[in-house]
Amino acid sequence: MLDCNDYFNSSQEDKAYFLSEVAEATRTGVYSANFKQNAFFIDTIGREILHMPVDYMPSINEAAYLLSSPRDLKDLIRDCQTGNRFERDVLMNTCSNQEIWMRFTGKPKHDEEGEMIGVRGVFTSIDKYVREKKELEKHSQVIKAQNERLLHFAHIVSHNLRSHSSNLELTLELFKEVLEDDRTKVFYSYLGEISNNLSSTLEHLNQVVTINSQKKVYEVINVKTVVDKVLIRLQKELEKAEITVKTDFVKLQFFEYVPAFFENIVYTLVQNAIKYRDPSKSSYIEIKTKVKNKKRLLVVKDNGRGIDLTSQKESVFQAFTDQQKLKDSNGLALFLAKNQVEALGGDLVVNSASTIGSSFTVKF
Amino acid sequence: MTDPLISKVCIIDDDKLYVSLITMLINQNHFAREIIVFANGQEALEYFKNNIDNDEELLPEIILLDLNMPIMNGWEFLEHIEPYANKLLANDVRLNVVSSTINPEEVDRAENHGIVNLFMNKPISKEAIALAFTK
Repeated sequence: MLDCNDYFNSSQEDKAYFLSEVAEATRTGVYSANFKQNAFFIDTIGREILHMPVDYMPSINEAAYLLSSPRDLKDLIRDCQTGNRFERDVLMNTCSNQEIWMRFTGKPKHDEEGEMIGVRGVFTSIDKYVREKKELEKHSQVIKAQNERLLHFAHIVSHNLRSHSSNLELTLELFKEVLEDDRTKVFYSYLGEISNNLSSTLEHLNQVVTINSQKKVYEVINVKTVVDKVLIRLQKELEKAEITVKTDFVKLQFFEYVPAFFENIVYTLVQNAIKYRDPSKSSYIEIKTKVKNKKRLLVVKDNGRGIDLTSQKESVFQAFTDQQKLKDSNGLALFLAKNQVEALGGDLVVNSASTIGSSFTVKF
Repeated sequence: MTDPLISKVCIIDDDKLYVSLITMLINQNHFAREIIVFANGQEALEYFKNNIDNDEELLPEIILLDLNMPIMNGWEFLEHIEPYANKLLANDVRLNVVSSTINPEEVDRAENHGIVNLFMNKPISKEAIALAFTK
């Protein structure tokens, strides 16, 4: 048992065994410098890590060249002078001229008069981790730069598209005044519809582009107030479809979130439930909050047509996937809601079985 | 015929179609008696430099400034007009930025700019112009 001290007190041989086992498993070498004798000792594992021949006995000066950077050497000397134990990540040269990142520790040794006579410690290769970290940092920089370029591109494209759409809207606004015969009126109505659809698609695109660059100010949200507001906005549609809405926010009434995002997420999920209702039965929507494993959840459940997740699971939240969505000006809504949830570190998932209905869960 | 909301408006925009449309809109609704148009910031800057101290020239009450323009864009215009900001203010000239940008940084920058009275987003509606001309 690990907490049984007797076990570890059993013998010096055991201690030596554990030490050598730790050194082997972590690839940790041991060194000791003796300033008086100008001698430098490195153990077998240390020699293996540094590719140092067994019979090579470096002087302290020669050992100093094991450090790649003169600055690291200077810092280590300064560490020694403090007299305390020290720990540093340094780049070392192996005897076969490879550079390896090393976690390097040491503690100065003093004689009875207090004069520093040496330093000893251990070094562990952390090369793999440092290089992986550097590689990751490089990748993340590339991704960041690419993201910035994409965002810039999206802004320019959006700007130009909006200029055209804006001119189209203005043209129609002015054209309204000179409508003459019935045929022109029909064409005018077509153009008006095209212009509206174009503007609304652009509006959604703008939202997608700006989700991650918007200022996200958290405020305390009263769940009931926001849900009631959304239900009033959708009142006509709910009444027309004769949908009953049940709410239950006892488990979580208030929490901190970005207000505009929260309202849009609720709106999107309720609107989605209305859209996918099953006209052959009396429809209901349940909206409730939960707290599960310290996670705050919002569940929007309906008894509508449901979603066949075997064929559509991945595409539910994708923009422009199914034909229904393409024709619908709100085609981007679920995609947007998911993006908003994820932009704030949460998750939006769907559970559904065809004919029973769907259930969307937001993890905030 | 009703009195126009303002006497003179200045449009700084390189989009010819937009300029024609906005001119028609302003004329149709009698929003302004006179419209002056510049295709970029440089031309507009020349006009203001030459006329700001000219008592005989009636300065526009409203400037509608686009951001994205060749030769001198809206931001550069704002920078160059800065030294005349007090004189513009004294002459009751209100400068509004009108743009289709959705870049939140640009919107913020425009809204918080010392000389900018209003940031207006394109597409610009009849109502938005009426509002901008009255306040």
